[in-house]
Amino acid sequence: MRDEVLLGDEAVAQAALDAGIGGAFSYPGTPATEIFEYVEARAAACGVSAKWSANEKVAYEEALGMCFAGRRALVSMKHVGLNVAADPFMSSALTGVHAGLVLAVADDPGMHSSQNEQDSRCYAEFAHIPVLEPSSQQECYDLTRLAFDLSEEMDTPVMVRLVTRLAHSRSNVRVEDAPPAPEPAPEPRPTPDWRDWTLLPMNARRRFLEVVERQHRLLEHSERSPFNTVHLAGNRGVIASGLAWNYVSEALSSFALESLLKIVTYPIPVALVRKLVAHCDDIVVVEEGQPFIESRLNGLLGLPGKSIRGKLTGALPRTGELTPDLVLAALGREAVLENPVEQGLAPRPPGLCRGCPHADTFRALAVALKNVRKPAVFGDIGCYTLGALPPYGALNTCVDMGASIAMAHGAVQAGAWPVLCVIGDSTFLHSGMTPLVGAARANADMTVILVDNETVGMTGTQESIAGGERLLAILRGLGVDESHLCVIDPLPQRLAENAAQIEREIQHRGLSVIVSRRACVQATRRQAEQRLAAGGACCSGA
Amino acid sequence: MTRPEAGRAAAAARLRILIVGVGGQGVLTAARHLGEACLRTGHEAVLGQLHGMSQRGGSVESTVVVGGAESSFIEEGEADVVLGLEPLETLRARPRMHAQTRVVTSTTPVVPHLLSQMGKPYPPLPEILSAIRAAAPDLTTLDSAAIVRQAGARRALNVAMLGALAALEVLPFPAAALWSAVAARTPERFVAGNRRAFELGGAAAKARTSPAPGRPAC
Ligand SMILES: Cc1ncc(C[n+]2csc(CCOP(=O)(O)OP(=O)(O)O)c2C)c(N)n1
Ligand code: SF4
Repeated sequence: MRDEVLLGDEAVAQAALDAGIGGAFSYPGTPATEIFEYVEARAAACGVSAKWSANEKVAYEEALGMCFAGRRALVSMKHVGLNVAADPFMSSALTGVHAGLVLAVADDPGMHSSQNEQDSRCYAEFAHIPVLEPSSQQECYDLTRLAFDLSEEMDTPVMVRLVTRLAHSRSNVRVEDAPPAPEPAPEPRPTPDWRDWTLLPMNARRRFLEVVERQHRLLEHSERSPFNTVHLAGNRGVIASGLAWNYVSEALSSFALESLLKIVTYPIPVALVRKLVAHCDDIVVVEEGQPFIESRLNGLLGLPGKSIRGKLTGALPRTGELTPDLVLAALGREAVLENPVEQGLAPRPPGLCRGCPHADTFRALAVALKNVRKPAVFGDIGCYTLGALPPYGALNTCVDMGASIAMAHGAVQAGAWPVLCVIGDSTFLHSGMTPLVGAARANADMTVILVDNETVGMTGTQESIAGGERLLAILRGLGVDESHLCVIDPLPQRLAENAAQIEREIQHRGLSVIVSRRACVQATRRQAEQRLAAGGACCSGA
Repeated sequence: MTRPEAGRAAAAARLRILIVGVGGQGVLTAARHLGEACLRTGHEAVLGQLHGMSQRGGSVESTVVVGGAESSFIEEGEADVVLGLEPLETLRARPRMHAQTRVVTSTTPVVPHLLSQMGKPYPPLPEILSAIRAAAPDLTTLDSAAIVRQAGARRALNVAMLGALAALEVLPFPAAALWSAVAARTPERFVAGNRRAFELGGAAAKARTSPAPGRPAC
């Protein structure tokens, strides 16, 4: 045993390494990025594979393939990534796992860096798989270890659900001693029965029945789990899960008054809930995200004679992140304080870095569009989304990754003109290629500006899987006409010529793709620093 | 404001440190240095280091709560120490100060993009400082630009500020312990520059705090 100061994300990753995974799979996304990065940094030393995937669906499928081959796998993503991975995720409950498969998802209540605040527990219930929800960094470690065992015992993927403030806070974690030096990978286990993994209707029907029958065992496991605790005292009961548990235990200076139920494992341990509800008349449910436990407790009609309070009744806000003060107020310990915002100060919203190539692309775009009354410019997700804000005001939309190209094609079909879209290299590879195939096939009258900064800037400059010439080859391969595929160099001194080029392509009545290519200044700086550091390490012989 | 005793449990035993600044100044790193020092000196700590979209020059904050807390939140009136790497950001943290909060702030402004775009001036520094002082009289100011220039360590602003914080003797460990944590976490080739920044920061803070006119007796 040793102590380390770890992020919630890192504790998950360390546990996965200690559980003997063969690999980690992911696509970057705040606040989950550090899970994969922690494994990646130790991949060689621990003898595991860790390569960023093109998107979350691919990551999930790669992980599933690894378990099919008999090795444990960790797949991690941010909450909206699970929308992209939903297809394999839902069906993996039916295939089963062959070796432990753990999905770590980081939700973002309060939308610190996301476009919505969906609650991944809903997905897990939808897919009929268990969830473990840690409330501390230590539990991130312990529960991830448990998740691998549970996955194999129950033949199901297991979700570990984090939220931003747990993923991104750091505290002491007691971990197992450093795992032994990497051994040669164990012999892959024999291939599992093809009938379990080939979801033809005849097989899938049988497997789904098994999934449904497995729910009893999962519930029993949940009800027996020592991580869930129930404590009966007063007539008022508090049910809390995840990070919210911390706010509750800080709010209640002594545990003498309230009855308490801490829920860590899902399916919801009904027997424990029943125990608390039998004892209490007034129940407060405190959970981060959707009123998941609260709505299930209420059912459609509520519980006669019981008051159940939480996000549905307004005892806690329906949207946004919980705070200790909000929880204090819900427990009647103290009035809600006014919002702690200093009034009248110049705000400091995030902006593009100084020297960012995207800024020059947006300036050229503004010049090219200055005589156009109502251009439709579809945006996408990345640093360049900040082009929607002043002073650029260049984008009309930002919905989900890859949406710009498909929405542009839709607008073309509605007769809009001119139609443009702006999409980053990583976002394009994530989910922009498929819509472009259709737009190229139809020779849709639209102009795609692909801002290739050769990195995933938004999430901390991870390596993009294809940029530069490779990206051009991909575009050609997707059917983009060579004569309307061009590259511009977004530099201030090229403003006029770049604007003219964009204007020409707008005038072309068919599909054009303009690759605006210049490296991200942060990525360049980081690479230079890494080279320096690597140089230093060589001298010391490390 | 002070919070009622019935508030968050055992609050008295805790030291809640709020670090604020602008993306790129090293707010997160400063928090990690403090966390490392806590670990090395056997103090339990929880660190909050949300970054969201703040890498892009936005406001950033980190929290270090020393002494057995369950969450890293620092809410209204709860900060015992505010370490501000930028004056406007220090002022932005004012609602979380209380009358005894010890505030250390850099006086070197980083002009918000929005102000420069609109051609508006940065608010006058004396006004910022007196507004902070009105909430928390125990204010130590540091000309961090001059210090990092003198130290010849352009990117050591956060470490200079930590030096100043250590000199105030509010931390549960001596300055030397904080320095060794910083040194352990700093790439070899930056150690010397950071050391100068740490020491200059400390010296500047001592020079400013020793007469301490009007400082409340504690
Ligand atoms: C489904 C999904 N996965 C991940 C993210 C997180 N995310 C936001 S933007 C982005 C990629 C940005 O890279 P790129 O398109 O190259 O643009 P850049 O930031 O480099 O300008 C990622 C991974 C997300 N918002 N949605
Ligand atoms: S990180 Fe790179 S792409 Fe993002 S704003 Fe900064 S320079 Fe531009």
